[in-house]
Amino acid sequence: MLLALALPASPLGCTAEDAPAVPTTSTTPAPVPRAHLRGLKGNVQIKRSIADEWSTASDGVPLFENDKVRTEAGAGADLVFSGNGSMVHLGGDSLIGIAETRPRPGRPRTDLTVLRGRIDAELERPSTQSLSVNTPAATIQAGREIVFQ
Amino acid sequence: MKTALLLLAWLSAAPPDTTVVGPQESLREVAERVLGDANATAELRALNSLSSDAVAPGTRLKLPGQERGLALKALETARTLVAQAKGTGVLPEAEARLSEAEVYFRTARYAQASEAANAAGTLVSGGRAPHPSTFSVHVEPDAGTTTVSVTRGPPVRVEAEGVTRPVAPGETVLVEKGRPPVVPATPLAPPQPEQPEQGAVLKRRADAKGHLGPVKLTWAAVTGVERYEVEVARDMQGAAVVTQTATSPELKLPVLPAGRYWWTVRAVGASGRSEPSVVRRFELVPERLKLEVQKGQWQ
Repeated sequence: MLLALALPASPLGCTAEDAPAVPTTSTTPAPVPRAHLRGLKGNVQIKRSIADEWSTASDGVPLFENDKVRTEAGAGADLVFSGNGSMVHLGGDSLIGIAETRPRPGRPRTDLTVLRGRIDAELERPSTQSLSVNTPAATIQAGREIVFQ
Repeated sequence: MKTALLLLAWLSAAPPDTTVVGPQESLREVAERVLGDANATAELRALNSLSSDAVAPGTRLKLPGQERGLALKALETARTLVAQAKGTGVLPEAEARLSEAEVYFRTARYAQASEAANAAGTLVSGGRAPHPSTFSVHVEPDAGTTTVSVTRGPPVRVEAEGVTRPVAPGETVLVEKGRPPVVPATPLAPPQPEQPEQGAVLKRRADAKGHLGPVKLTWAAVTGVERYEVEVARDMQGAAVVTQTATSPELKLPVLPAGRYWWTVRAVGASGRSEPSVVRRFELVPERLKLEVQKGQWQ
C-alpha cells in the first residue's frame, strides 16, 4: 500500500530542468512553483529535489520546494517568489535551497535556505509581503506577514 | 486494522500538554520551568482556573499550546512597531489595542491576543507610507557564520538559539553557529604614522658594530586601543626585521645597520587588530664626523 501511495508522487522520467511530472490519472494536486529564476548571469546551476545531478539553469525556470540553486564565483541570479513577489538576488559562489511549504508545528515558515554565499533581498511592500530565510546559524524574518500569520 | 483505529482514537483523546507540580515547587517556578518565564503565572492561573498562585505538589496543570508562541511573536512585533512609532505620533488607538493584546495574553486568550496585536501593528503601519525593505544575508563557507545587514525599511528579525534581535536599517548583526545574534564590534582604525616623514634620511652615529640609531617612530593615537604592533622591514613586502609592541603611540627602535627601512603599525584592542597603517619609509645613513687636527706638540 505504501508503494502504491508513493508511486504517483514519484515524477520519474523528467529532466532536471523540467517541473516534476504530474500523473494525469492521479488526484495529487500539481506542484506549485515557489519562485522563478530570472536575470541569470554566468554559470548558475539547479538541482531538483528528485534529481541527483546538477544542470545548467535557464531564465524563467520555476523552482519548487527542496530544489537547490548554486552559482559560481562571479555568477548571479534573481529569485522572484510567486507567493508575494518578494525578490532575492543570489550572489556569486552561493548555494541556496527552496524551503518546503509544509508547515512544521512550532517552527516558523521558511521560504529560502542559504547554505553558502550571499543573498540580497527586497520586499517592495513589507507591510503585506514577508520573507523568511534560514541559514545554518540563524533564521531571518522580514516583513510583517510572517509574524502575524 | 482494529488495533490501529483504537490507537488513533486513544491518541485523539489524549489530554493536551500538561505538567505536574513538583514537591515544594511554586507556580512561579512551574512557569519558569515550562514556559521559560517566571512572570507567566497569570497565564497558568487562567488556563487552569486557579484562584491564586498556591498549588499543591502533584497537581497536574494544563499548559498552553503552539498558539502561545505565535501570540508572543505577534505581541513582540506589535510592541516594537508601537515603540518605534512613538516619536512619529503613534495612534492612541494602536496603543490601546496593544494594551488589550497584553491583557488577553496574560489571561491565556492567545488567539485574541494575536488578533489585537495584529490590529495594533496594522494601525501603526497603516498611517505610514510603505517603505521597501532591503537586506542582505551572507553565509560564510566555514561553519555557517551568518551576517545580516539591513539597508532600508522596517527592522528585520534575526533569531538564533532562542534569542530574537531586531536589526534596523544601517545595522549589522553577526550570528555564529550555536550562539545568539550579536552586533559585531567596530573594527579599530589603523593608526596614522607621523614621524619620521615619508622618505626621510636620518643621519645617526654608528656604534662599535657599525649600527645606527636611535630612531623614534611616532603615530597618531587610536582610541580604545590596548597596544600597538610595529613592524620594520628591509623592503616593501619583506619579512620584518623588527617587531615590537608599544602601549603609547611611539617607539624607539634598536640600533640598525645603515639602509632603507619600511615600517607599519597596527592598533590592537578588545575588538581585534586593525589593518596595518600605510607604509612609511626612512633611510638610515651614518653621520660623518668632522675631524679637526690641530698643530701642536702631538702633531
